Amino acid sequence: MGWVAGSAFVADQALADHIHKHLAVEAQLPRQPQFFPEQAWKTVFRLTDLILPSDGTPGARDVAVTEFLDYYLANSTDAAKASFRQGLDWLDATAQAKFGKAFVDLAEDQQTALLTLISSPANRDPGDLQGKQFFSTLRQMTVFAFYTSKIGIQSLGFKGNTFVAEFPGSCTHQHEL
Amino acid sequence: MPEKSFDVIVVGSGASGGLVAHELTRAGATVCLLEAGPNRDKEKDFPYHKWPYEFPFRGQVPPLEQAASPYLTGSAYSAQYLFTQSDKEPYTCADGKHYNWWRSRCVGGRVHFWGRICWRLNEHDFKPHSYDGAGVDWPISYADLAPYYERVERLIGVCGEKENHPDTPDGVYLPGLKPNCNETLIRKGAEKIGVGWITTRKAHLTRDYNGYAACHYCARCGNGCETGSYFNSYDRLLPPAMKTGKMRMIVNALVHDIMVDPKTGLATGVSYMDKVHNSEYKVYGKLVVVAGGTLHSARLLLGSRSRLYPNGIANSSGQVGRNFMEHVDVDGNGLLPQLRNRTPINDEGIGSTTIIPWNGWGRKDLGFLRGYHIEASGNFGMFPSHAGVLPGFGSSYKKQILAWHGTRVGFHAHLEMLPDERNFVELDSRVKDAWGIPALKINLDFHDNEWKMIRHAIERYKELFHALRLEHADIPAGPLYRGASIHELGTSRMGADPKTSVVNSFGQAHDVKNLYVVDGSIFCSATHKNPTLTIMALALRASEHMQERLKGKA
Repeated sequence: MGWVAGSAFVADQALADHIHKHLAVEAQLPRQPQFFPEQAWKTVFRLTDLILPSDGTPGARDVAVTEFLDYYLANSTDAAKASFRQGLDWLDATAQAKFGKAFVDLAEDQQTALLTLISSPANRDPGDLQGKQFFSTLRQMTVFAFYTSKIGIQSLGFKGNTFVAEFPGSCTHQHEL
Repeated sequence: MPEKSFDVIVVGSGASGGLVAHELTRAGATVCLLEAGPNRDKEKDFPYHKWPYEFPFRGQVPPLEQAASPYLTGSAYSAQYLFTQSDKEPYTCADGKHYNWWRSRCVGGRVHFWGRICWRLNEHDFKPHSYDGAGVDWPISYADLAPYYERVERLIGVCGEKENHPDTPDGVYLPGLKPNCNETLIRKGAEKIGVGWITTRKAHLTRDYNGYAACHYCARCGNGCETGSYFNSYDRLLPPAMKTGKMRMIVNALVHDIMVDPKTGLATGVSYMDKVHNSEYKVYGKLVVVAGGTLHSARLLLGSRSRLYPNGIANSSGQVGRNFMEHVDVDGNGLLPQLRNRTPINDEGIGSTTIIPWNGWGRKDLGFLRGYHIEASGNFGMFPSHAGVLPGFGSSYKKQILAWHGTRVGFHAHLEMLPDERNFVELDSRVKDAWGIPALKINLDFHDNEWKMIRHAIERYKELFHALRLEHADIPAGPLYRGASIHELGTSRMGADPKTSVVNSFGQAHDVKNLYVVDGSIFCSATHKNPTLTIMALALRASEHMQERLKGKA
């Protein structure tokens, strides 16, 4: 969580305090895993960290995305649970086949290579279809979990959901098509 | 007032029922308002300005509920009151033609969750048969309704601009909003392809009005409005009606039968099921006003069978349930590259300020009848919904999300559907709800004229998106699902001839002179325009007729 105290993202102390306070709230989110077994938890933590990394600005791990996904899936349909499990199984099986280790145990460049494979629109290999679908679902869930968190909304620079006397959003530019 | 007998029974508390209750109580009549859903506490039950992370599922419908109702969208809050499927209150559809019936059960009705667009029908809209030979003309003209449009606009407060556009007559407006950057570009694109635009007329107060505060532009209208600054029945019609001391509101009351006097044939009141206690009750009135929303109202009329009215009340014409129409929706979206890399501002405002109206009036060369409009919007929303179309992952993906934030524009077209004998509703002979009341069966599909218009709208999107230079453009392949517009219309159409229509132009049933229908059921044509303003203008006109009737004159 080094980005909170000293990173370029947090320009002023007030905002830093604000985020700190909120982190304390979201820190209560982690609870006993309801859905992910230990290995799956580690894999999802790593995957979401790769999708939205904490790289000087906040990322998935700063807002407990894994905790949220665990909670979300625990309250989802059996079909959604099975599909997610099968996706994780596909990923580990593919990691084993290509690199001889489970996904979490791969080197970062190997993990990135595998994600690149299943995130590429150009990849039409039917053998990767399940992986592509899993990545698409996981990325969507990660984006949802992150950008609906307080820190995620702040990182987007969102200025609305507040009281203003006059509409402040009118265009004052000379835009050209 | 007597416990069970009233001047007027009103079934439904939304835009039309609320308005009739508002008008009649203020005119001195006693009103019993029946609502099939629960009431809500203004102070406790609305999540005004709450953030997604304050809800267990971040403001979304819980996943298990979502799986049970796949079409349900919107916030966890509105989803408590909006529903499609229900074990207790089922409905059925023609085989293979699922119609998604968005329903609401709560005091204030669906107008609590509406899009708030308020524009007038034009003179052609009232005389469609005279215009192109299809359907039937309304028994009133634009001139008949114009004064009522104006009174409703003054009552509810509509912001907009006078545009002198042939598609829609101007009304009485509070100041319109100037567009944000996204909509400025959309307007330029619409001008470039020659279709033009108008400022959306919306039931938002852009200044303090009639004791209500101006809109504060939080853009969380789906959660209800703390200040009542967009028009809805719950905040703006029901409280003044209650204040008269003339209204009694009964909630969780599922009205299923309009009772009649076998000697006079007049309505005497209604039977309703108390859904909480599973008990049957009756209330009596001099007038019965049906305002449950088109499909609920059709079910009630068809289900009100008696020896006198074996096919349902007000149905000697056989027209109840017929001529069911909605709008066909065609949506598209994309990203404006011109707006990349901006610093976010607070620009959600009232959601949208731009409509591309129908510009084809008078043209005979299009290959289809009638027309459509396109509602356009785009802003720095709370959630980066554009993230789904951007490729990749990692730091570069995060940067792309930020770079493209605020560039997304969405388009929502409503196409006019013609009345068609194949589109109708009826009572299902086999399926009943939890209280033994027959379920409604919906038969609706899009037909030849609609499909031709859908193709035209798709071509217009292509042209517009090209002019706007949209990237990651989602050009629609076809329409949204049946029921997407939530603009159910027809089923008890008005007319001068009792053989071919259900009610007269005041919503008064031809067969039962003290029975009125005042919701979207009574439309003769769907037009492409968002219907609530017209529903309210008709209900206001009807409520004057009811007052005359109560005085013994009509």
